[in-house]
Amino acid sequence: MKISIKLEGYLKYKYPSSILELDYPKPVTIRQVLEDTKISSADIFFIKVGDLMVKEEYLLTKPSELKLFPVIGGG
Amino acid sequence: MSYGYTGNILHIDLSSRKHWIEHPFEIFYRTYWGGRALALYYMLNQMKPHTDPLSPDNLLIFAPSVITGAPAPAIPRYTVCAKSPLTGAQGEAEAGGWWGPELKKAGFDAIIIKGSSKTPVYLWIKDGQIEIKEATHLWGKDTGTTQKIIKKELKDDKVRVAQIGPAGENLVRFANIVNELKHFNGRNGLGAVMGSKKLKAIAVKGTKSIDLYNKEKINQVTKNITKRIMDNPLSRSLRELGTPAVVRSFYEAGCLPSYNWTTGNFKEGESLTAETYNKTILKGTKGCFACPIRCKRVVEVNEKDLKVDPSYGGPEYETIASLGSLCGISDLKYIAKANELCNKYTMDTISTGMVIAFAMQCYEGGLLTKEDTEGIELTFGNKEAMLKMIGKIAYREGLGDLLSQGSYLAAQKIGKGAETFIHQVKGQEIPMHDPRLKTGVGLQYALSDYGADHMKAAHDPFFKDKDSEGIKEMKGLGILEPISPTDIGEKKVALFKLLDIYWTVFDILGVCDFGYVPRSVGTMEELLKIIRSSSGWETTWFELMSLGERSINMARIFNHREGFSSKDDTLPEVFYYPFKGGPLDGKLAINKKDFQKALRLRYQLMGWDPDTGIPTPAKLIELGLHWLIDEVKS
Repeated sequence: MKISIKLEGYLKYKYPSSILELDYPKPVTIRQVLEDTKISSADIFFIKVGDLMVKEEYLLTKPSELKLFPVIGGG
Repeated sequence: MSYGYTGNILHIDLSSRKHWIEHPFEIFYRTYWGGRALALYYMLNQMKPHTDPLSPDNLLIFAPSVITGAPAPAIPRYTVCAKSPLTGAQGEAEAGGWWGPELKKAGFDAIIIKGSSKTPVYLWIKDGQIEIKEATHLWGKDTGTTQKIIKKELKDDKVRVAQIGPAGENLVRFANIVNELKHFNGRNGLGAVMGSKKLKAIAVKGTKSIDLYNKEKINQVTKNITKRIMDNPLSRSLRELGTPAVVRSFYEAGCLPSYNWTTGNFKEGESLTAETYNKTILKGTKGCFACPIRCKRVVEVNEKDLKVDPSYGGPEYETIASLGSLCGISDLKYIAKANELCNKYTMDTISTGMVIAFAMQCYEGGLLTKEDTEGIELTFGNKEAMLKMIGKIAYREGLGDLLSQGSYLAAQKIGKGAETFIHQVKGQEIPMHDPRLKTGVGLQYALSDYGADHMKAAHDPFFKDKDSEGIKEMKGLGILEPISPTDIGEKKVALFKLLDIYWTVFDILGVCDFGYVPRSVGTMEELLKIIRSSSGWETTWFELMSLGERSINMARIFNHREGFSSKDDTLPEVFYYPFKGGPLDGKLAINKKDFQKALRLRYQLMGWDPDTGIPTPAKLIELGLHWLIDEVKS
């Protein structure tokens, strides 16, 4: 099951690549995907799978594209 | 006298055209430091309650701080204060750029202006010398033209000019003040106060260096911070994408303020993103004094029917949302043009976008007619109409005259339910961050002494996780535990008490929020070293936090004197309802009772009366403000 991750905003400068791809043999939570890619939850404000806003507990059961959006401050 | 100060505070009476220089004792400086704290001291002592903000009796105060002009990153800012013509409360706005450091080099720690000139004038301040010069020939001119003429007249291209354009002259209640055409004391209508005094500009030039306690130490800290800034992904994002980076997150999440806050779902959001911006209108980037981040955008459009002059910088996130999605407009080139016009006329882009979006909703709802708009089809998405309205507001023509008063007064005049279409706190239009996702920001909107503002505290997401910057780097303030951005419980209230005070210290000292934790890499310890090495004072964060809290209480007393009470600490009703449309449809309303409970707790944590929100005498004594006790007794 292919999971691709697209990093937005400053995340694309923080991690080695702005698009990451992983393969999982069975359903996996986003929390696990983040752990596997060493992406810190502290950096993430929103997660989107398709048009859905989801949380880290969300279980990915089919090939998906995740979009990760960084924390946002004032300015 | 301590290091870092010039020891000179310039007082100018424009009615009599006289000036004098005050030389305060060190204890005065160590109590009020600069910025809003210093300004509020004079506003409370020298202004009578209920002064008309546009009368000669209002004070207009320009105040940098003890560290302004020190060659360290992200400390270029200075404050302008006056009673606000938009809110009737304490008015305040900070600006970056180069003007604040130049004023210090020219020999002054602050300028306090009262009275009003009969004819337009500008001030020319060079190396301690002050001249009031005629400006009749500049009145009516836009900011770019005015700056060119002043620099030519003074025969010096390096003169730094803070000034107003036609909107300030015409007393638009959200007119702002600009320095070097791109750096704004943006909110609260302080440009109208300047206009009411017939003061077109203040040109400053200094050739003296500022006497700093330990310049070598400052250089060392600067070197360390700068290296980390250059390597830091957030700083790189600010440099490469700027504040418009925010657009993508908000539009994809469905919380980009759109169609006058009726939805956060803006389908054309892609055309407003930083990536589109960089491909279509970006020409370059600029920075402020001694800052390596260079977050400021410079844009250019050169089409047959639409030209945007790069001299006026480029739209920030707030402008893209307020003059873009909020008005249903998705054409960045037109938003860039709107930004240029606001900058030429000196109008706050947040309030300008908000009043136009409000008028668009009124028009579509039949509360305003084509007769009211003088034939303009003022519908959401009409970009030509938006540009026309900006000009009409600046020159107070037709419907523009009504909108120039701000949305609160305009809605009262229109009636027929128009007040349900406005979104403001204490009369100031809310910025483009939705507090349903960041409840601490909502608390700050409600409590801000100068009306809704998104820069009153660091935002909630920086404290969401044990590894968040705010938790890792701010333990010294007692911030130890993460809290969800949407939580509105006791811990959030306590956190935002600290964050309010912390960023108020930034405002007083002229520190840019993009330079230091939690928003960036400069640490609290490094900032403390810069302050100590500038002033020679062995200060602590305890003393600095007391300073911040002192100024918050001074502002609270100023507003109490003007008739403000806990009833004015509100949040616009729209945030008590869930999002409509998009990925967040039906989610995330703030519970009104929880919010009111949070406000009451905040009053208690601040040492204020939980019912009235008025500071207690004990709190005033604790902060060395015993001279204000009579104000709370009355």
